[in-house]
Amino acid sequence: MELDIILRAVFAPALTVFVAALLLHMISRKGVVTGRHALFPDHVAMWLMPLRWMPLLIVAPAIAAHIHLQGGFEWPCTTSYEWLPVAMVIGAGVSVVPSSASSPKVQLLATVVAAASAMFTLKPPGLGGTRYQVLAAAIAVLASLGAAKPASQLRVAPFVALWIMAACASVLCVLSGFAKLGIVLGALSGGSAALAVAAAISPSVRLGRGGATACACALAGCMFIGIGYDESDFPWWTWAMLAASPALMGVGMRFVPATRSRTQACVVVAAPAALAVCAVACAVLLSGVLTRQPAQSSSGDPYNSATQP
Amino acid sequence: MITTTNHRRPWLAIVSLSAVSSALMLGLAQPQEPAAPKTATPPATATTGPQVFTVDDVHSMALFRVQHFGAGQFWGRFNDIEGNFTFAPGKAEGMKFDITIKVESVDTANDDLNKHLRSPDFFSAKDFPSMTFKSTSAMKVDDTTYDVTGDLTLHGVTKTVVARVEYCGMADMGRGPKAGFEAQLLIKRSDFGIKYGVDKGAIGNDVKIIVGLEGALAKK
Repeated sequence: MELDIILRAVFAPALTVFVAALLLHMISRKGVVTGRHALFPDHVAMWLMPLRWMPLLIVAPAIAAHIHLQGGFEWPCTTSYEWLPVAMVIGAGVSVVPSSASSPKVQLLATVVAAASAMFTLKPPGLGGTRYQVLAAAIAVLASLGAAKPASQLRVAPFVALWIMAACASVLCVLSGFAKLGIVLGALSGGSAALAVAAAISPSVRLGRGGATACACALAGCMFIGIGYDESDFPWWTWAMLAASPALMGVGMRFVPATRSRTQACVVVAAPAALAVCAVACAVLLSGVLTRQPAQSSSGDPYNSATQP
Repeated sequence: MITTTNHRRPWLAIVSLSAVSSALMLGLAQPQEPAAPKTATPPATATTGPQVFTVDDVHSMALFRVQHFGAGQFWGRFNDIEGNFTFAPGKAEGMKFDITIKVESVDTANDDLNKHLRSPDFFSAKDFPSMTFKSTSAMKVDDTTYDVTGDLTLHGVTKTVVARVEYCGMADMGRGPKAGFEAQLLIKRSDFGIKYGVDKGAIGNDVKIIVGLEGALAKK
């Protein structure tokens, strides 16, 4: 893999969202830029808060990487893989609602709609049936609901967790033979790392409930596409484990008391990261992808011709 | 009488043994020797119209060549090739090629590379399981060479291409008439939407394709 591709498809989008998040933070914060007066009135500044746009910000690097690798965006899409950015945009677009709505019912409804609309956009080869899309959407909803609370209460930990999960997913895709999808997930991972730094600098940068939904949809979508194009015969449940790993972010919030905030943050990162690493390890060990012997050519026997008498 | 008979018996035995062993040797040796072509002139020449040949997938293959990292020429092949071709020796009229190659059969002698080539980064074998060439016209260049124009469908994109086709020969070695062709063409893979590594020249855009075809006369 060329360093140039990594720079342009992974680092450049990550740097862009880092700058964009900080810019949104600065222009939406009262008095930071102007000294004494806010740059925008309150009602406008509310709309420019990074939290509100986090669903789009978090998946933007992955979409940018996809478009860069494809050399543009062609419509209509001809392959299942080309539908991936469309699914990501739909998922992230609908996810803006849970980041803005205050009613739990509306948030839940928006999460389900985001996951379903994103997964029903995708029809990976051999997995075109509705049951697969329903299963993928269910995993995305589960991941989103599990990640919602830590994403809205913690600043840096959710981004770090997503950084590790997306990196593991990227490794799985590269090992499956699909380098482009690996780079797309690398961009998602890089963007998360950049936003983790931005969150450490700026208190208004958080993943939020909407960001968690967008990430869950993006990760589930990538895994759904990945399993369809898998050339290494990884067990299907390893892909599902990776897609569901954000759900374990909720473990830290559920079982660790809020008073121990550092431990809580560590568990929020460690639990999904452990599941993601475990998924990659299982896939590699069970498929023997790293130890497999070169395949024999199918044309070994010159007398095995169907046309030979 | 008895003495005379005893004198004749060795001669008879020697002659009989020689005759039997010669016959056996001839009989056994004949199938092991390569059979000479039954016809000096191929059977198809006897007929006026073009004849249809079914591609023999074992003795046919498609090779591709692309430059890697601006340095070496990298070769790969497709093992599964099927279809048929129609022709009459020495004539461009009626010449037709209808060839299908299974993308899944891409073979570079490296399992990891094969997987990568089958992925959507390159051929996207699960979306586009086969590539096809269907000829539309043929023009004679010389006695054994033809320019065959046809539609090449690769990666879901169909483009009209011209292949330089060389007639290799036709013979019947005792297993029915067989004919052979070798086709060469040069394509730009980006024209077919396969753009991975093109922009920086890591993997060349120009791909040379060589298709070796051997076909058996189709049974009517």
